[in-house]
Amino acid sequence: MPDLNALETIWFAAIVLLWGLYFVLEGFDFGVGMLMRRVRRDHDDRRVALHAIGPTWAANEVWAVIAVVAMFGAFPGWYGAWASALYLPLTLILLSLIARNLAIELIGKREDARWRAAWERVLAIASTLAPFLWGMAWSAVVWGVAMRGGDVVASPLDVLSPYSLAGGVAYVLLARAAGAAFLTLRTAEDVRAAAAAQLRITAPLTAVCVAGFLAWTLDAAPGSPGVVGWIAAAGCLGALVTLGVAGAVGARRGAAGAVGGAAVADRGAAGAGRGAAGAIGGTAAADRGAAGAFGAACAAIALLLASWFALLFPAGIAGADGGPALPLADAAAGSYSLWLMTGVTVLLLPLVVGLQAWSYWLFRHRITRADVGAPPPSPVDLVARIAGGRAAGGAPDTGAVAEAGPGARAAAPGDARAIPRGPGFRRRRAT
Amino acid sequence: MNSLDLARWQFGLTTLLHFAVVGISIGLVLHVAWMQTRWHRTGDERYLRLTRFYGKLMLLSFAVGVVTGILQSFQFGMNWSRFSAYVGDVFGAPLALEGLGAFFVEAVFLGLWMFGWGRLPRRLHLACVWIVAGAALLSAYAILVANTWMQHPVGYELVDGRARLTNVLPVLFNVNVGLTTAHVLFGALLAGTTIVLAVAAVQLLRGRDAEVFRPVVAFGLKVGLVAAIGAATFGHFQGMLALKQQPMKMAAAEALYETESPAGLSLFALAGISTDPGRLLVDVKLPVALSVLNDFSTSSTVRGIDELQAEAEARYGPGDYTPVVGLMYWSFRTMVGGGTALIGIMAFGLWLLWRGSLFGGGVGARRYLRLLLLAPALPLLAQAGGWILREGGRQPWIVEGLLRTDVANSPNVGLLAVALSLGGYLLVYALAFLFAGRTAVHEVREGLEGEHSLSPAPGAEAGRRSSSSSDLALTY
Repeated sequence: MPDLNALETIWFAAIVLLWGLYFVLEGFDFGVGMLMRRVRRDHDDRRVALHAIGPTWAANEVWAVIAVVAMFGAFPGWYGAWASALYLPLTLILLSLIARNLAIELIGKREDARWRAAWERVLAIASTLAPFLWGMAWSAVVWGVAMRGGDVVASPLDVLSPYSLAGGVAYVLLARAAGAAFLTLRTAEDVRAAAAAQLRITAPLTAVCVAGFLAWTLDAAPGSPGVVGWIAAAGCLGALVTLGVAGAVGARRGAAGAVGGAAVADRGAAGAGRGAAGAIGGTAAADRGAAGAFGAACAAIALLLASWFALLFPAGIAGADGGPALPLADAAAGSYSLWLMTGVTVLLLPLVVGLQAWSYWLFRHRITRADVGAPPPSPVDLVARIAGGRAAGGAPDTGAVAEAGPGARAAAPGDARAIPRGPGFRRRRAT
Repeated sequence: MNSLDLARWQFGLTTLLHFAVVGISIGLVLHVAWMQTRWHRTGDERYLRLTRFYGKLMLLSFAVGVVTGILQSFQFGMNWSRFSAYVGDVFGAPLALEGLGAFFVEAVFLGLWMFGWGRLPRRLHLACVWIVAGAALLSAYAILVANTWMQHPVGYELVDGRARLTNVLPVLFNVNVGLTTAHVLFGALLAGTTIVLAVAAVQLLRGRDAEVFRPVVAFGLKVGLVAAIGAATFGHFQGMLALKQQPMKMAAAEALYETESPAGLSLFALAGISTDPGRLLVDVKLPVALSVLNDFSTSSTVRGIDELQAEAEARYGPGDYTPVVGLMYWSFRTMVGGGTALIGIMAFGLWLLWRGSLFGGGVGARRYLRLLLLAPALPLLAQAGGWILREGGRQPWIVEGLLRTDVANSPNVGLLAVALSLGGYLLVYALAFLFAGRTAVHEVREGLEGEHSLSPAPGAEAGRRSSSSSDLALTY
C-alpha cells in the first residue's frame, strides 16, 4: 500500500482528532437525551437536564459536519467511498439527528403535556439510535467493505455484521455513561441524584462490555494496530477501568455523602486528568467520582476511536474478507489544496476551540430548578411527595402550577393526564 | 426512473427546501439584530419586545435550517461519490471556511444569545446576534463559492481525471461569485423582510400593539424595496454574465431556438410537453428587447439553442447538451415575475405610507395589509425558480464543461436505497416544517410578551441567579 506523505499523514491525524472531538462532545449530549426519561419527575426537571446541555449542544454537533468536510477536502476519494458505503447507517443517522434536533428545539415550546411527552420519546429514541448507528458505521469500516479499484461494490446492507452491531452498542453504552456523569456534574437536586444512580449502574456495565469489544477488535479486525494503536488500546482499557471504579464506587459513596469517599476521589481525579472533566470537577467527593467517571468515559470514547483509526491506517476503509482496502494515498487531495486547508484550519481551529471552551465556561454553573423558573423543593413538597407521590403519579406538568410558588405543586392534586414517571426514576432526596 | 434520477430529485428537493429556510433565517437575523441595536441605543422598550418576539421566529427558522442543512454535507458523498472525488480538492477550502468560520461560530453564538438573556452583559449579548448574522452571511458566501465553481470552473488543472486546485484566488473572488452572492443575499433579506412585514400585518389587522408594529411596517417596506431592487439589479447583471459564461442556460431560459440579431424578449411561449420540444407552438415576443436587456444595445446577437447544441457536439462529441427548456423558461419567469411583483408591493406600500393612509384603518389600507400576509410566498417562489434555473440550466453538466451529471453519482447505491432515503427525508422534512410552522403560528398568535424589564447590571457575570419564566422564553 502506498505511503502517505507527511502532510497527508497530518491530515489523517487531524481527521481522527475531529471525529474524536465529535464522538466525545456529542456523546454526552446523546447520553443526556437517552437518560431524559429516567432523570426527570416533571417538566421542570426536564428543563434542568436540557439546560445543562442547552447552550452548547448545537456547537458539539457541528463537529460532525467539520469532520466530514475535512474528509471531503483532504481525502475526496475516501469521503465519497466512505459515505456511499455507509449509505444505510448514514441515512438513519441523519434522520435521527433531525428528529433529535427537532425534539430539543420544540419540546418546551408548548404548554401541553402530550406534546412534551411525545417529543421526549422522540428525543430518547433518536439519542439512542444515533450513537448506535455511528458506532456501527465506523465499526463496519474497520471490519471491511467490499471494494474494487477505489469504488465501493458492497450493497448498503453489507455493513450489518455482528461486529458492527457490537460497535454500536459499545458507543451507546459509553455515551450513556458520559451523559450520566455529565448530568451529575452539571445539575443539582433530584436530577443530579437520579443521574448519579444511573451512573452507578451504567459505568461498570459499560466498562466490562466495551473492554470485551476492544479485545474483539484487536483480535479479529483486519489490519495491524501498530505501536500507536496498542498505546491507544491500552489507554482505552485504563480509561474503562477508571470509569467502572469511579462510576460505581465514587458515585455511590459521594451520593451517600460518605466521608470515606476521599480515596475513591483520588482515583477519580486520576481519571479526570485524561479528559476535560478537570475543568468542571467540583470539590465534593461525589463530584470527584463523577468527574473521574466523566473524564474516563470521554477518554475511553476518544481512545476507542483512535484504536480503530490506527487499525485502518494507512487505508481509509478496510477490505472485506482479505480483499483490497482503500489506500488513503490514492484518495488524497493535491498538496496545494492540503496546504490551503492547513492554513484555514490553523487560523480558525484554535479560535473555534477557544470559543467553545469559553461558552462552557460562561455557562459553568450548576443548573437548579430555580434556574429554569421553577420553585426549589420545599419541605412541604418533600413530605407531600413521600406521602402521596406514588399514588399521585408525580407532579402535574403545567407551567401555571410552577409559577404559583413553593408548596403549590404539592397541594395540586396529581392529574391523571400528567406524564407518568420514567420507569427508572427513583425518588431520592437531594444531596 | 433510475437511481441517478432519484438522486437528482433528492438533491434538488432537499436543497430547495433548505435554501428556502436559510434565506428566511438570514433575513430575520438581520432584522432582529437591528431591532436589538435600536433597543440598546435608545432604551426604547418597544424594540426589546420586538427583538424577543421576532427572535423566537428566528430561532425556529434557524432550527429548521440546521436540521435541513446537516444532510447537505453528507449527501455529496452518499449519492455523488464520483462527483465528490472529482471536486473535493476545490471544495475543501471553501467548505472548511464554511464549517469552522461560519457554521460553528453561528452555533456557539446562537446558543449564547438564547441563553444569555439576563446573564451576559448587554453589549456582549448584542454582539452575539451580530456575530450570528455575520456568520450566516459568510456561510452563504462559502457555499456560493463552491456552487459557482460548478457553473464556472477556474483555478484548477486536470490530474488523473480529477480537478486539482492550483490557485484559490480566482475561485474565491470572481465576478460570478460576487454577483451571485449579492443577488442571493438581497433575496434572503427580502424573504426575511416579507416575513417580518406579514407578521406585523397580522398584529395590525387584529388591532394589537399598533404603536409597536407600525414602525416595523414602515421600516420593513423601505428595507423590502431596497432589497427587491438590489436583487433584481444584481440578477440582471448575472444574466448578462451567464450569456457569456453559460449561453445555453440563457437560451433555454428564453426558449430561444434560433440565433437572433437583434433578439426579441419572449413574453409568453408554449410548446409540446417534452424535455426538448425543438419548436415553440406559441411565442409572443417584444422585438429587440432581449438584445437591449443583455447588452444595452439594439443590435447585439443572442445565440439560440440550435447553434449552441451544434457547437457543443463539435466540441464534446455527440450528445444532448440542451437543458429542459420549458422548465428553464418558466422558472426564469417565476423568478422575475415574483421579484417584480415584490418591487410593486413594496413601492405601493411606501406610497400609502407617504400619503399617510397606510395606518388610517381604511378599507384600502386593510386590503393592503392582507396582501402583505401573502407576500412571503413570492420570495420563496422566486428563489426556487432562480435555483432551478441556475442548476437545471447547467445540465447535462454537473461541473460546466468538465463532468457530466450522469457519471457523477455513486455507482454502488441502487434505486431502492435512494428511494427509501428520499422518502425518509421528505417525511421528516414535512414533519419539521409542520411542527415548526405550527409553533411559529402559535407564537405569532400569542403576540408580544408583556412589558417587563430585562436589565442585567452592566458587566454582570454569568453566575448563579434564579430566572423568571420570561428570561427563559427563548430557551428550551
